Amino acid sequence: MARLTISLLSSAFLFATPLALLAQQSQRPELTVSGSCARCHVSATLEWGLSKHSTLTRGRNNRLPNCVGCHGESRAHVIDEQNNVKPDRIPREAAIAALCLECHANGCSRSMDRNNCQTCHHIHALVNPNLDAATIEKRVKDFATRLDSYRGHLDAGERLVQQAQWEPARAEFAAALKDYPASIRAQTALTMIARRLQPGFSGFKIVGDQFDAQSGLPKEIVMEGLGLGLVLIPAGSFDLGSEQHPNTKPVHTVDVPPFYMAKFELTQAQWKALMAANPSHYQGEKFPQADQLPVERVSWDDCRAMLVEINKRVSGGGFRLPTEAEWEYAARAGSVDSADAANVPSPAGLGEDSQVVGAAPGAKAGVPGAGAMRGARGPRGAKGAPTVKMAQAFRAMQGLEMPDTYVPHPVGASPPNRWGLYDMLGNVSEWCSSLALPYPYDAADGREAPVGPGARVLRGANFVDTAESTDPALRHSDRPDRKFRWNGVRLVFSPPEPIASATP
Amino acid sequence: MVYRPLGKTGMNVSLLAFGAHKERAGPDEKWQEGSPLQDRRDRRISRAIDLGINLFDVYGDQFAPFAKLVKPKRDKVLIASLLHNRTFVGQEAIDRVAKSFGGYIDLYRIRCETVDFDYDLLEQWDVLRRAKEAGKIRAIGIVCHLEGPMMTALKELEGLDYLMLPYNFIHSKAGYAEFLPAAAKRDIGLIGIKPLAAGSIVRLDPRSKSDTNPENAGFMRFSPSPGGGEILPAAVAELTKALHQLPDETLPQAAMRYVYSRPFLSATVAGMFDDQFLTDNHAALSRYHEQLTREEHAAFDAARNLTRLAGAGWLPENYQWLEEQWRA
Repeated sequence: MARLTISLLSSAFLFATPLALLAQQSQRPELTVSGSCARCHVSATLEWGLSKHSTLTRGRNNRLPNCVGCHGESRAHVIDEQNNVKPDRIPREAAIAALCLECHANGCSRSMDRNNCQTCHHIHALVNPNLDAATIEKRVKDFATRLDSYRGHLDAGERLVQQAQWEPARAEFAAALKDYPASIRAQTALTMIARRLQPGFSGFKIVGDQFDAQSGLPKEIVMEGLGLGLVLIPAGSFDLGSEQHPNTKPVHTVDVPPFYMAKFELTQAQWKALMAANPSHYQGEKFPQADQLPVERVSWDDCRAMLVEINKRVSGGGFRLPTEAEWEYAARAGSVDSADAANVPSPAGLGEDSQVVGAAPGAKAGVPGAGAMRGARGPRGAKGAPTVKMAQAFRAMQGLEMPDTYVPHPVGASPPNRWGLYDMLGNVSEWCSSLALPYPYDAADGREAPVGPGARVLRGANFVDTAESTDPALRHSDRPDRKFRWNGVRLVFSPPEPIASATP
Repeated sequence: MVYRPLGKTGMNVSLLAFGAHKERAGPDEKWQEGSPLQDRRDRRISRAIDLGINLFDVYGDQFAPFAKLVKPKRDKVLIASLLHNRTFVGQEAIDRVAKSFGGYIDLYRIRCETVDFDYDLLEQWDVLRRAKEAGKIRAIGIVCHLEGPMMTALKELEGLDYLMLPYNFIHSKAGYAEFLPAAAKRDIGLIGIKPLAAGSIVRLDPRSKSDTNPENAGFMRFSPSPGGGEILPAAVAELTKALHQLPDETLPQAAMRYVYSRPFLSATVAGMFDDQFLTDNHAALSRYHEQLTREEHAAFDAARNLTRLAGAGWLPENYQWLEEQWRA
């Protein structure tokens, strides 16, 4: 079997240098389709890429003949980088035949054998090693030809995209999809082109002329009427969690589709416009800027009611709370480690110790959202001056009155993170849609159920937290009916699918 | 030393926990670094650690000297403290204490003094929870000075790890049927406080060498309730007779054995204001495996009777809630 593998690879796929091979591999459709598996199981994936199985988009019993179909989701195996945990299933002998029989119920069409499939068929590539060399060679050549055609269409399509020639590009990607029906690249490109042909959504204005190259979505939009600004959070994958805290383990990779997230926490003015009431604690004469303060003292249940109202104003709805995976992805804004996420470069003109104009006392340039946090650290981990002297804190401890520094600040008063989101790690904590269940995060395991008992997740530090709480991995939760004056909400919006007429 | 698991926290705590926060000061003594007062206290804490006590309740002005003292032995001790105020400076106060103890506090709690959980208390609880999630606290709990909120705490406080409640042979109301099974079901650690009723049980036995909490200095042993008449002397005589049946044990030592014998308590925090308290409380542990004797039970009954007749006056004024809330 090893000899067959080497033979197959050397005849059709290997290139002159390892670097070239790597570059080519990163473009290979089977590697894309197999996702996480291909990060380690390159050979097995390439073998599978040779097979007809890799071109199928439907299987029996909702089971595709791919990695997951035969080995199970194997989530623990994927997370465990030490390989202590094996895949859910490693079929052998009769178990392999049982899997084959799910589709090939009558057994082998030639031998009529219903057992021992792997004696004639390579376990992943399906090629029969007992066939003569010429037949194998022909099959490999046929596949290579199809692959060349597929790649040719993809390359042509991408060149046309660069020139904004959307219709011709669409034809090329459609042809590529015909060559390789499981191609996520071709499917994604077609969706992107459909969006570029008919950009924008009803009820929203596009801000600027920037579009995401991958999804075709405008990078910034604003909801008309409410004036709610949203930025596009690009699709991607990231490592969710942290080994630093008990309830943020294990760190695991999560894929996130593109979505829009509000630049700011929902303000009191916006809540009032939607709900005709303002539950916030920080309002009244003492807070002349209350309209621009984040709404707080809202429960998760209150937020759900608000979502009903706001979705009445948008054709097809689409507003919702972020999942906790989306929230952390957005808060990290491409940063890998937590400290980096909290220390984005300062905006031009603001020094390390500068006070941000309009920010609450203690807001430091370069500490996004840490505006009202005590002892917040400045950029690159430099320790900032304490924002509230301990003497003042202890005076405050003598009574129940809040010192003026422990208040939320107007949204947008601190610098944004890399993706243009303000106050992700400060001001008020933000409700997420997710139930507070242990990691690993799996959106399909019931934790995103819109109803049901259990605590819901809150993310992000707030104005009573200290700098130690700015880690974007930190998870908090509370009952859906609980409301505190440091808990608020930030909306996300799911972009609608491109309309049918814009797809081939 | 006997150690018991504290609920689901993963911590094993010594059955006898160190709860002193003030040293008995002489007339001319003042608290300051290097003073004889501080030295005495430091020696006692070191001795307690040597005896195997690992749970220390610390607050007030003792954070800094205590932190300095236990720094080399930080991994051998568990630090417990109380968040005093229902203000938003909670996180900052916790940070300050945690930093002085190597970045974390093992047990932190808030105090509940109202039957219904109000908004302030729930906010304060949220502060504790957040600090725990940020790794500054290992276990969070509540200390109840009223019996009513204990069941409410089990229902309302998300993430409750432990609960502290008054418990001694007179104030043992928490032995009732509803609370203990509910706490056990949720694996909530229980820690007893006031095992000697703020030192007042010590004063019931003239043989006790220790005096009571210095904050109660000057407090008289008995303040008979009006109309007590001839009943009180008879009760004193009964107690005296019962104590004669305990030639090798004082009433406070028997009282500590009573608390140690409760399997649902992971630890009991005793204020050890002088060396004798530490010696007596630890000595009571040496008979941990022995059942309480008939003579001890007789002494408990006599003491219960006397204190009931004496009214709440047998307790210091600021501890009369014990009598009102917790008498069995």
